[in-house]
Amino acid sequence: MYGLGIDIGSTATKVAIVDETTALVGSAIHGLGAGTSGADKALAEAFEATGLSWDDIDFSVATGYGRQRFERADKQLSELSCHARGMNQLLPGIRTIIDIGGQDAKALRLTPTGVLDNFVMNEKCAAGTGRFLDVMARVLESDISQLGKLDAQSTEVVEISSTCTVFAESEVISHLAAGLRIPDIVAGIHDSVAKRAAGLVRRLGPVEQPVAMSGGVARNTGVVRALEAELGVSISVPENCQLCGAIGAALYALDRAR
Amino acid sequence: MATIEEILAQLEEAARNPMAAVTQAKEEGKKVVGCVPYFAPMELVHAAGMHPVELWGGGKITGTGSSYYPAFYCSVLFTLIERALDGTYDDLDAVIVPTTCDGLRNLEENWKFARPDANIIDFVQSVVRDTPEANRYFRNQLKYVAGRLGEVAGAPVTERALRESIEVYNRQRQAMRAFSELAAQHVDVVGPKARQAVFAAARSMAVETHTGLVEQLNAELEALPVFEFKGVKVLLTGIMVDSLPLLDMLVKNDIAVVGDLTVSESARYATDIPGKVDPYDSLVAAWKDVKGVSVALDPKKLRGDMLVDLARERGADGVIACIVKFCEPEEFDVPVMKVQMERAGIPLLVLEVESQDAASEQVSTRIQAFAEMIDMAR
Amino acid sequence: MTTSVKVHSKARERMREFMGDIYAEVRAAKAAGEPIGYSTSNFAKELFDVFDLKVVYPENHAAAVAAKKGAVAFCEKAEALGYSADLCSYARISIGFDERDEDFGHGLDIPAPDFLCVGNNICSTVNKWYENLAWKYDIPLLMLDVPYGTKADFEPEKLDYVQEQLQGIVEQLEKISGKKFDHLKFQEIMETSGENGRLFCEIMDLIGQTNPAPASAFDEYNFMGPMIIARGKKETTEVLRMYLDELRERVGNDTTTFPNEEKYRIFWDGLCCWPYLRQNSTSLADKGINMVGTPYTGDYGVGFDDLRGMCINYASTNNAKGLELTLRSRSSMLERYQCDGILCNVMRSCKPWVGIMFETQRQLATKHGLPYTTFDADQADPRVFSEAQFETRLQGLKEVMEARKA
Repeated sequence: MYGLGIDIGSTATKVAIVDETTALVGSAIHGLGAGTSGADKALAEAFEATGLSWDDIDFSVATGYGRQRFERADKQLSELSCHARGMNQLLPGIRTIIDIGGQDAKALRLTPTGVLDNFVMNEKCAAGTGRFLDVMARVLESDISQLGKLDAQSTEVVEISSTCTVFAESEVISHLAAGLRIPDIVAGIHDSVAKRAAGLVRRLGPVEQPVAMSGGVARNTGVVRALEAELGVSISVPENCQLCGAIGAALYALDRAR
Repeated sequence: MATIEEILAQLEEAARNPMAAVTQAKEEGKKVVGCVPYFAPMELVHAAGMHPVELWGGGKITGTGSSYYPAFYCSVLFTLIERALDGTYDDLDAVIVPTTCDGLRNLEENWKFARPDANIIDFVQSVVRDTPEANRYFRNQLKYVAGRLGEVAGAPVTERALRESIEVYNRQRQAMRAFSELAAQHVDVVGPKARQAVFAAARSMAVETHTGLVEQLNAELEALPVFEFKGVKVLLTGIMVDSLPLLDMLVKNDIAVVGDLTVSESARYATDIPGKVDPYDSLVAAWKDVKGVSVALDPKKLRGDMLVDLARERGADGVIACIVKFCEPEEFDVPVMKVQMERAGIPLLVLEVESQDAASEQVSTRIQAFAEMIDMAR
Repeated sequence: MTTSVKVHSKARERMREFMGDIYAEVRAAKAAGEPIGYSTSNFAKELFDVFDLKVVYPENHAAAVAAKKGAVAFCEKAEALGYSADLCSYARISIGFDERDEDFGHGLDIPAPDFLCVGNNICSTVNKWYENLAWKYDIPLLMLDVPYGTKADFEPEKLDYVQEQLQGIVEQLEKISGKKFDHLKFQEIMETSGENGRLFCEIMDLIGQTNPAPASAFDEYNFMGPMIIARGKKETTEVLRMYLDELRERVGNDTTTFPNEEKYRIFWDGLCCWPYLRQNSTSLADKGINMVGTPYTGDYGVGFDDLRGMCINYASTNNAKGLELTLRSRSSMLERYQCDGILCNVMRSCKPWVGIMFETQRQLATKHGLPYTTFDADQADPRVFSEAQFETRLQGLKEVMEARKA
């Protein structure tokens, strides 16, 4: 018996397949999101890796930004429920999840038994999302995947005071022009993202620990560092942090299959 | 007798095309007066023998409004000034603009200069509502508006006419209160969009026609057996909840609306206008009776407590607050409501609504997650 | 040729001396069991002194916190409670400050309020802000309801209403303070307050009407402090007179504290931008642009002799006036101060002001044929300002003014 979860985000599509023991048997991540061929490609990759086909899947759940336009799934659920469920599988006992994706940033509070208890999401504004980091990486002529490493080389964090992406961009340019070190600017950018994310978390009330991060931005160790400092807590990042939503969806699919 | 479907269809038609009523009234030789929110005295317009139509803006933001407001102003103001500029309101013989928030104060001023040909009647309500001097001042303002309306109508507003108009509007208030209760018992027949339409139709339809239809509708609903709804029941609160895509999202997630504390819906009908010796004093007392809305001063912050009571009364599982983005009075109520609802153990979803007619993908996710959360907690 | 000079201002020294550690006094009063009020900046403040009540002015306090780089942390604290980042930054700073976990220092720690006084002549936002405080602490909220001025002149009925409310406010303050109202003391305080408004107006006019100016209107911000928190005090009169003498002396010997040659004179629409005050004034001065007048300080430049005059004063604040009243006062300033251009602070979180700013500027620019430019900023939130944008816009304005002079 297999359950399939597909998380169609704004910038990437993630697929997870679990068997009846809830073990993850196959997964794929494709760097194309909603409205693209990303879903087909990610599915093909996952099936190829496992030797399974759509016919072997007993139930499927779609989640993420593109969930409503993916008609092949048997059911669709919000990414909030799926992230909560997926994280509870990856790191049982987590009470707070911070998920920073391409367009959305969200904070989730879970009950001690791992059920979604409350959540908040960012305002319609790029500040504090993956998009903000993309823009900044471009200005710094750095690869987005290198930001974490650069952050680690920082010795003196440069404060980025603007929250508006356009203003922050010009602020970063002026710091570059003033000859400030790129790692220090990167650390400042991460602090800025962390401040916004921490604000979301605090809107849920006192921070319930343990805390974990999911979503693509969780792979950026600089943001994790900045968030830990800002919130004064330690933050776990599961190995499959990007797959968290897809795994949750797959688990819900398995429930239904049973 | 018309069926429920027919009545709802008629009300929806009026709700979706508010300016049609203006055209019709004009054709009948009536003068039409626009009433901008919040709490413009429609009774006075009626008493002057004219047709009041409430203006909530709406429609596309084309950008012309940005010569009056930067991007960080609410969509109600923005679309109102844009519709004033694009001629949508040109047929109106006058427009009453109240000043309950900073944005409206600005609108009243901007409109006068943006369209010098428009007859803008400034209505500066008192913020204080419970002292003799505030009531005296507010009564003067009502008399001033009545005077301006008399000029437009070509005949002064009489006390007799005002008393009669107050009665007409009280009948509507009673019908709407009854409707809110009945609609909660028949969410299979009165879905979120139909419910909204019944309230929204009152903005433009002749009050007598609207009241008549709602009374008929109420009678038919009362004859039906109460519907046991298994999905998630919510209350709505906000300035207005007009976004049809948003209301569709509720349906899609098996959410029913069983009540509201919304300015454009139930809040305005909460009580009758008291009968006073002086009919202007009646309107003063009605302003004093306004409760639980963000645009009327309330140091006790009753809104959250009133929602808790209503949720218990109607068996609601949660509350969805639709906050029009950049609406300061609403945004200040959010943190307090959060505390009040949390204390009462009632889930609250705060949705930031960018434009009153649309809803974003993110709003859809939030609504779905809210429903899933309530469902899983059951 | 006017010479730039650096002057040690005795007036400022005297001001600092008498204002002393204002919040220490408030803390001491609270500790002694006296009721503490929070008041908006343009409430009928003369009444507090009649009852010797200690009052904190949260806007003034928030600006001070912002100047001490505390704005961001407290804004974030308020935002974490659910306050939208779009709300007034003074409100957010103050609400966040009220939730602080530890002392902030800088002499700015203030006790919680026991009563609240709100004048909606500065905005309707304060109604909501103070509502929430009233709810949080379950304390009385006293309101001075100043109806918006929608006509070309002050309307008698609206002024009557403002005046009629004072008796009720007095009665509530009697209850709060446990003291009887002393009408002779009130007369004296009102006279002082009226005189101080007149003196403040004289200061503004002396800077604005002298060409080149003996100072920059940035200096006026320094003296707003006593006008907000000690308007009815004789010490304020003394300080304003001292400063007026200093200005007169400079006009007499043709010197100025503006640090550069005054090539252009501009009018600043909007509040100042507290976190970037130094950056703004330096940037202007470097370009030879002197800000010679601003309606912000004009809030404190209205004198009066009697109760009616006092009410007109409180109906004359910037945001209590509609377009026609606004245009009248600004037009007069632009003409008398011989301005070459207008610079507008499009304050992200001061909606009542910005909401008629565009139409106001359109009409002023047409009437006076003056160029104007806007920049995005805020009164206290430093996160919505871009130095690069400010520089570019200001330089653009300068180039237009230059071309017009040629």
